[in-house]
Amino acid sequence: MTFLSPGFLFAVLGATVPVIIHLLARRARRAKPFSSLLFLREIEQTALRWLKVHQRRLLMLRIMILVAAAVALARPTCGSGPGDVLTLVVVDRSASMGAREGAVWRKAVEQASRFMTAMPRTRSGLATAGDGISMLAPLGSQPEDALLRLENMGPGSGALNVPLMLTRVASWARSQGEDHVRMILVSDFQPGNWSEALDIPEEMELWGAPVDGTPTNIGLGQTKVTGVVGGEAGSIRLEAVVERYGERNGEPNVVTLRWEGLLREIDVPAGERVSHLDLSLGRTRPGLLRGELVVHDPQGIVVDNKCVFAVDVPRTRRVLVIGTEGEEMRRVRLALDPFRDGASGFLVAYGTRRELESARLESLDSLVLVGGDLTGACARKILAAWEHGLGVVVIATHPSMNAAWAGLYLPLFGALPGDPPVMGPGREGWGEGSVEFDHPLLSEFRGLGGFPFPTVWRVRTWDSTAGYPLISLPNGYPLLVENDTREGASSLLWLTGLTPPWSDWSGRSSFVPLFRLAVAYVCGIRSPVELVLGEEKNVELPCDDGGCSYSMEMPDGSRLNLYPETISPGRMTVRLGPVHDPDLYIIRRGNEIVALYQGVVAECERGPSFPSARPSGITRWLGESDDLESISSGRFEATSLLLLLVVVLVLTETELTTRLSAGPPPKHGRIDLAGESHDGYLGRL
Amino acid sequence: MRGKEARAAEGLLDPILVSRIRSLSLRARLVVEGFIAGMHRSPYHGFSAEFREHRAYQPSDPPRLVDWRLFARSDRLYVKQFTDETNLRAYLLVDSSASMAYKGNGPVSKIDYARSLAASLALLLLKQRDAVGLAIFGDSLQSWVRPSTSSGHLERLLIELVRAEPRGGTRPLEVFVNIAGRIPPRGMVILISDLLVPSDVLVTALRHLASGKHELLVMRILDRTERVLADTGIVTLKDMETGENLTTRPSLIRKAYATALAEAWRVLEDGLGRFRAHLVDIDTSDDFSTALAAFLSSRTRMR
Repeated sequence: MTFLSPGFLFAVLGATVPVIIHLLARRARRAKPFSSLLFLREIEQTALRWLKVHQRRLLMLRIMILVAAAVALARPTCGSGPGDVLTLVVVDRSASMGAREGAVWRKAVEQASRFMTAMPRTRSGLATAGDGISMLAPLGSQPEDALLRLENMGPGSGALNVPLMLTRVASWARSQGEDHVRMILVSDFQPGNWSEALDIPEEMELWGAPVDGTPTNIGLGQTKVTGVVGGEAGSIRLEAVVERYGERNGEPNVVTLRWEGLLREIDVPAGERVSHLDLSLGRTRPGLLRGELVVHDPQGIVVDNKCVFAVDVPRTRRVLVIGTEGEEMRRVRLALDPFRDGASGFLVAYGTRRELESARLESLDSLVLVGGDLTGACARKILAAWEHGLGVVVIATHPSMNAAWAGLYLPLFGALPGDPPVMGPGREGWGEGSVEFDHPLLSEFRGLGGFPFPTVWRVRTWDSTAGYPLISLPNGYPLLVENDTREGASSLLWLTGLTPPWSDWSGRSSFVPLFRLAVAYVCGIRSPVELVLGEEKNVELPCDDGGCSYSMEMPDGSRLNLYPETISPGRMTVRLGPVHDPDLYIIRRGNEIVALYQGVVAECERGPSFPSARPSGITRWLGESDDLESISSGRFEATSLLLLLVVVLVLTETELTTRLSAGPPPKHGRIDLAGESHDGYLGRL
Repeated sequence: MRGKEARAAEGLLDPILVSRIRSLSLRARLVVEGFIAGMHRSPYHGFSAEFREHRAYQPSDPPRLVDWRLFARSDRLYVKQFTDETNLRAYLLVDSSASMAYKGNGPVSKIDYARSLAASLALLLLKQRDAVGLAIFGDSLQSWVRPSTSSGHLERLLIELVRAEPRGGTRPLEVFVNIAGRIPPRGMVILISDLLVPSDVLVTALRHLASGKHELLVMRILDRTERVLADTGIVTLKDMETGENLTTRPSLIRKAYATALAEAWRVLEDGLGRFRAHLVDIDTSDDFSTALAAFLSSRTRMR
């Protein structure tokens, strides 16, 4: 027996107070003369004996009350003490312990910390167990350092090897010269890791400390679809976060993608977090594609959650890239290689200036020109394409422009924001100014780390020595001119120098999405705006000469008129009500498609809860609310029982005091037996 | 006027007042005179055989006392009053064991009360011309005075009483057997004691005293605190005769003590009843009239 508050044991000395008072009272008493003790001696044989017995009982009772009260305050506990049994705290480091974005692991570390704090260092150790077992804090070491290491290391990638763990712990105990060891396992107790009949060594006592304290779904995997990009060539790219943990009955859980009656298992390493999934689904026709991303066990039971999504597979955009074969073009090919199979929704073709001149603009969606060797015919073709509504991207590789470039640029100035510079012969030295670049495309770059170019650029419009106007674009200054010429889309002319230097483009991770975005933009592709299911969304729409009358086309073909919440010059705000299906919602102004809203599931549906494993070999389960000091030592705290005993003793003491005050019973009780006194009865006998 | 005298006489019987008088002789005279002064209410009047005077016949007077000769001469009824000349020998047995020194909370110890009472009885007896003897005893016979009616006998009795100092225990059987061998039959034995001896022993001892056809009058003198234990806390009591100590809480054993006392007294009274002895229970706070009246009652029974 040990005491959780041993300081109160000093109060036991208080039990001597009644004894001292008793002894002092006896010693200090002076004898008082009395004529004869003849009758008192007679009483001594009966009443005084009774009195003494009761007085001693009373004295004992009072001593017991004080002792019991003092011991109760000291909080005695019974059973083996924390120092009695060698204890090893083992933290499950299997992959599933990293579930809930690390919350499970943090909780496990917290549990282990509590146990280690409550136990003596010389008789407790800390270890982790996964595929193997490793000792973090041997006996006698500082648990604080080990706990810090434990927190930093995080969970492993494998499953918990229970038999190996038991064997290793038992051998560790033997190496310490102990014939009995208690193992406290902090784990999520995934069912797949535990067999029904545990082969626990005889010398081992296994206690379980579930991370959540109670059986619950501790997470075998998660999926979250954060974005979808479709492609007509049969590829679909999901921007999703997928995690998978654990196994059941020895078989790992599975992540699958289901769509249109088809199913594909996705290879996600256990315990790893995959942020992007590039999947080729074989879908060829444009339209809405619905699917599910599910984590389930080998039997097909959804064990955690599933995400339902919908994606609008767009029509493939045809892109013609014009450039002179060489180092520059090689790098462009390298950069555009991911789009080659149509995964991004583009069909890319490469050509030369001659092919540009003969190209049919009607069959193209966008045009990309790379290099500075530009002829007048090419410039005219580019302008024609732009005016025709194609997206045009011109990547200028030369800092200085020739007359062909000037022929390309000059018509564009009319579309520049602000006052265009006045140009013409005789205006030598004039025309140097600056224009601030402000375009909606800027917002598109935010998710890619920001627009990589300066947004204010300067132009010099006249070169007197050359005799013709010259636009000087410092390297890296883009020129974007938008021309809304096509219904439902706008084309863009993007002229830019190369900043950073061309040689770095292919090495920049941001180039591919940057280029893809630029091409997509100039091709007039609109990524659907995501709607979160069940939530409202405010949408800003233009309210200009084109009108302010909008409607929303629902998936079933019906239309709802949209009314503005707020109107400001040129713009209005519309509040879209919550949508409940992952589908495509189209906002139109008249017949013109203004915006596409795609309901992508953000809040994924949770699967059914399942209990943690409860192996029968575990002798004790520790809950979070258990008294750690008592639980860690396996003790039974007897405080409440002792307090109850104190109450009983006090009641007994009160009753005994009352009896003592009433005095002893008469010596000769007159027992009436058939009308005779006791004495008479005895005499007759 | 007569009531005033009676009240004054009653005051003379108060043991507290009497205890303030150092002279035992004076004490005895005061007690007896006080007692006699109050006897107008008493039916005990005149025991002697020697004629003393005539008085007018009262309707309640016994006819045998009528002086018929005088009636023949005077044609009036007179009754004769006598001064008795008896051969009564009374023995005062005074207990002087150590327990008699117990005083309790009052001003009078039992031995003082016994001295005054014995002196008063002696004076009263001598006034009646009865022979009075005295035995002072404890665990042995400490003093023995033969009975006499001489004029100087009272003084001798008083000297012995004054000399009696409480000491030792009580061995009634030996003492009473001794005394019984000294006194001739048909006397009057007055035992003044606290009787703090086992009742069966006492009865046995008294049987020896009563065996000579004596009129046995037992006067038990006890302090009030001996009858009813004081309601106090834990106290250690020391036996005045044996020196033995006993620690107890009187408040808790009062009932048992009273029960034990009553039981002992019942045995004693039963024993005394067998040989027609009379027991007078006296408290040291009682006045002497109780004891004297009891004595007179016993004296009357002897006639």
